[in-house]
Amino acid sequence: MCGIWALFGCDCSDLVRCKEALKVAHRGPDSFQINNLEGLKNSMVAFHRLHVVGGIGGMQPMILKKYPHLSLLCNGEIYNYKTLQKEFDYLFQTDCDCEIILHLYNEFGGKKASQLLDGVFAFIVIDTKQNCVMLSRDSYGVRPLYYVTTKAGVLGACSEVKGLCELPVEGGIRHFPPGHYMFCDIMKNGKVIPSTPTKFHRIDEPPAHLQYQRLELENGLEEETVKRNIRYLFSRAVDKRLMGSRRVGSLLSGGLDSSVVAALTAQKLKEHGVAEPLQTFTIGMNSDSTDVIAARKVARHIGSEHHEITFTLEEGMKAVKSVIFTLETYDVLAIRPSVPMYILCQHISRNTNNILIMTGEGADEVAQGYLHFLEQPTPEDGHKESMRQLQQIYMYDVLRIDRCTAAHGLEIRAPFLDHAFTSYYLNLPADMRAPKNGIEKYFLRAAFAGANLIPNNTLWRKKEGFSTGVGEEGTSWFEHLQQHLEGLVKKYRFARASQSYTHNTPRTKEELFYRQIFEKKFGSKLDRICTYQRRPKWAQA
Amino acid sequence: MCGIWALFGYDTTDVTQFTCALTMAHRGPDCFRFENVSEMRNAKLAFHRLEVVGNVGGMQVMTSSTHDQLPHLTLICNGEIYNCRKLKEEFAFEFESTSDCEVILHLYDKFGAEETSKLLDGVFAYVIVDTREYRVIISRDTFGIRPMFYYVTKDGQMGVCSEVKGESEFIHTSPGCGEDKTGLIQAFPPAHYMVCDSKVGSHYLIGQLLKCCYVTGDNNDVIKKNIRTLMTNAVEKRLMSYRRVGSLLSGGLDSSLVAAITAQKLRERGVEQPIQTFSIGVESSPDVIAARKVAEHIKSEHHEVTFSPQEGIRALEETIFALESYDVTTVRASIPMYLISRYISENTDTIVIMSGEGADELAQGYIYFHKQPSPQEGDIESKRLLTDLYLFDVLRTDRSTAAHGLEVRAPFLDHAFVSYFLSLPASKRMPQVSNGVEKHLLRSSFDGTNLIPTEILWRRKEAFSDGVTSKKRSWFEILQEHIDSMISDEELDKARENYPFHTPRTKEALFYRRTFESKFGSKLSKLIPYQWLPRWTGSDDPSARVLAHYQNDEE
Repeated sequence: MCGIWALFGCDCSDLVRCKEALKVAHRGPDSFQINNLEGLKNSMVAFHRLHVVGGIGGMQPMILKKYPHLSLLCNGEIYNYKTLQKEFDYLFQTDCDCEIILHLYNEFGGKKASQLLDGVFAFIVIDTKQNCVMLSRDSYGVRPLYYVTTKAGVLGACSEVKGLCELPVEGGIRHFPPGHYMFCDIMKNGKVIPSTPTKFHRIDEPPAHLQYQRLELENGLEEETVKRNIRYLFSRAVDKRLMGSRRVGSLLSGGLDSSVVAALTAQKLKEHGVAEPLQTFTIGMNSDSTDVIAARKVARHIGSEHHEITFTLEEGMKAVKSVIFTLETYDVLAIRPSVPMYILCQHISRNTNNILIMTGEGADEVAQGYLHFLEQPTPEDGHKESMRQLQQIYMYDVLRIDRCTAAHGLEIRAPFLDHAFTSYYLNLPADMRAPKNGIEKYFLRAAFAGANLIPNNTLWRKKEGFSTGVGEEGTSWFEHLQQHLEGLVKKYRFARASQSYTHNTPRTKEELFYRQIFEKKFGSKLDRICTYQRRPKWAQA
Repeated sequence: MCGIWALFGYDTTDVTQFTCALTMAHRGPDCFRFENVSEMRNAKLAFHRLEVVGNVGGMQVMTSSTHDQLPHLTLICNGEIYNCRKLKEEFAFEFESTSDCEVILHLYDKFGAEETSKLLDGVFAYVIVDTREYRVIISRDTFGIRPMFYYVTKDGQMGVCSEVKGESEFIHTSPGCGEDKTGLIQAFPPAHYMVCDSKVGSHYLIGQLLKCCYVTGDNNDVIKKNIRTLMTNAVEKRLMSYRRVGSLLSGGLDSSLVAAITAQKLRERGVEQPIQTFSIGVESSPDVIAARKVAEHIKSEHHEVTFSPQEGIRALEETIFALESYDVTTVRASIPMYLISRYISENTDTIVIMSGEGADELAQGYIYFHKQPSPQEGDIESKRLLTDLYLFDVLRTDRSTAAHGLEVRAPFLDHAFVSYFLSLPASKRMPQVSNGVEKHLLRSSFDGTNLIPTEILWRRKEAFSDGVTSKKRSWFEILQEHIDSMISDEELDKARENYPFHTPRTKEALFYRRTFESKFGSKLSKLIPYQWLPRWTGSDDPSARVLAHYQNDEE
């Protein structure tokens, strides 16, 4: 993870700009660079780098000798950069994966460049020949990007809201939609002509970059064939995410998703000849909780060096404020599981040398893992719900895992959100993906059954959300949290919530508590940046 | 001119640092960059660029890592290296950028710190960060044409900056700094380099101030020809720029010679635009008239800028802030220069400004040189003046232009030219008794070349601060009157208590000092080690006018 920041057409002073640009410094603890762009009035860009791929030449803004009019800011990893480099015969100036973006942009333009990238990214290309700036973001928005445009000709973009919210700019800050790109023209006076994002990828269609990758997929929809394909695509998804020069660790909740990811990571690292054992990490309020015990078993099974971290309610409560500031959201479902994750990442950052963190997020959306999927009226409805969740995941789970890690200088990698894998999975017949025998994620589990990847009882273990599972037996972390907050929020305040907050009115005292903290930090202008996660009609809230 | 800024050993990156790095943004209006050095803890560099040489690739902070050549080296340099091509060919360096400064990285890699600065023909102030040896190298050109200040603390913090502004504010405002470090800021001595490990301690000061290495015959014609050749070369190498080159033209000998050679060389190169020349003063002042004649002669596009005493007085405060000096001579002479630079920056596209500074020190142009007891004393004084130029005239020309995004070039301070000139017998360099004209040797070298009108070639010196207004009331007299009305006698009486260091002895000096300290605090007053004063006269006023020799001349 890195932090990118860019501002065009804003008349504010350099100092104000620098101040904002520095607010995302935590995303790139290794190096930073802030500069303006030659020949572009009132422009400034900043890059905060976490060294993962490429040496000094990988520093950004990247300007290649070959294309001196192009500047690139990219937070991301491009997994297929070597394939593309060979395919199109590009001569690289640096050893950095992101360089491919400039070559593709130059040859094919911004849209096709985005389509050809297999990876996670949020990037900005500034083209001083065409006098335009281009923004683009990966299919699921694994790498964050926010932007603001105004009629007065300002364009601001940043990895996090923090870097934009105190600019003297009239206009709402918005998520840059995943799988989209946008071109804006820049006028002579430095002002930007506003424009709107255009889609370049659909998550349920195979990505364009697959045409340049040799996939060994078998045809047919027989269960065994499909399972083999799933295993194959998912192993690849894990494997490509091991790219980088920093140590890879894995979160391990004890549930299916993180266990499969940790197991495959351990396996692949061994295949790559990495001598150090994989480190895995679990967090809970009690060392006897079901999740902690399950994680321990998996760790033993895959031979990882396992770390168990416990936290108390007090520690959790103390972290809530920083978590909300980190997350830049007041969504309850994002905040609850973020608290333990935030504490866990802090631990990893302080006590280990792991920088790249593998995680199981995305599986519940792709493979219908949430308990409410059991209630789906028809497989078609299940599919729709799965799609809806994936399209919004950038505002919830993806946002959570990015921010919790980024706050501590770590980088998250989520193989379940691999485009090639998900597009295959989502194109399987709906009834194949629906829960079966009352077991959610049935088909995903079945795909890994018999592979001895993880212990059998973990493979078929029922879901416990990260937020539920970490607590003590009987009372989950979020129940603790709720009880505690009940006492903290005054009744009369809650009674006035609908007047105080007309948009997304808090419905519970917990929601109100978070909302208050959020607005104290970010002001009320930003309340539209998040929406409460909506429950589908057919689910029991 | 550009701005460089570096900070080592502070473990925070905060907005204060930006604030300081930005205080000299005027030095590089085209582009800036602020970054840290990833392989060295707590090292931060900032660069403000004025584009003069090398286009897009010339942006700094510079590394030469493309082909993994020198990935451990990082450079920031404010300067021009005139012999960069020669060095590049000589040592077969492979350049990555089109910037002349890149040669510094290659030289350092091949020869180390001392030899690098010795091999450079140019004006420069640079910082190299070497992450393999884990050390920092700082160096500055022979005369300190490019400014650089620095400080090192006992606990291992070091700051480097083109102007004091960038450091003093930081030191004032930096949190958690126990001792007051403001007094630590010093001008980095010209013609020096320094190697410091990140652990401060090893601080080597090596290097001779001036190398007088040219020895030739004493045939007068040969000498004069050498002077012409070296001077012409000095001007020519300073034309390196893709921005428009102009020249100051006071009407005196020095700037007229420089402007004339510049015009000639630009024409030879096929530059179609005429050179723009600039003079400033009150209409019908002797300098303005003389400058007009020269401009006509060399066919320049001449701009006469006038200013009222009120405008001058109004600019006083910002000029002192730009200068970072309270020296009376420097301040007086800077105001017209500051105003003319502002005019150039606002009304023309000339960016590179040729100037005649240095000739008076080198060729003994100040009137008081007439009073030298012996040629040896004159020689010593001339060298002393040259050594300290970075505190006075060089500082003035740099800051007055830099404040408006211009870059000054002073061919009289070319190392080769200077060292040849100084190698000549002292008796040849002193004012000649026969005709009583100072800078005789320099004048006679250009006699008969028709470069500038003969009357100008042999015209008496008028110091910049004097010549710009009419003969009766000089600009600085009006200024003095104004200041006198603002400061009471009691205040002047108390000056000794308030300013034990360099106690101001006149109201004018007190006023400048007070303005200076209101901006920079009292500790930085040590940056000016002494007040510029003529020798051998016993006068307290630095102006040339009060000298008997000058007065005689007017009658």
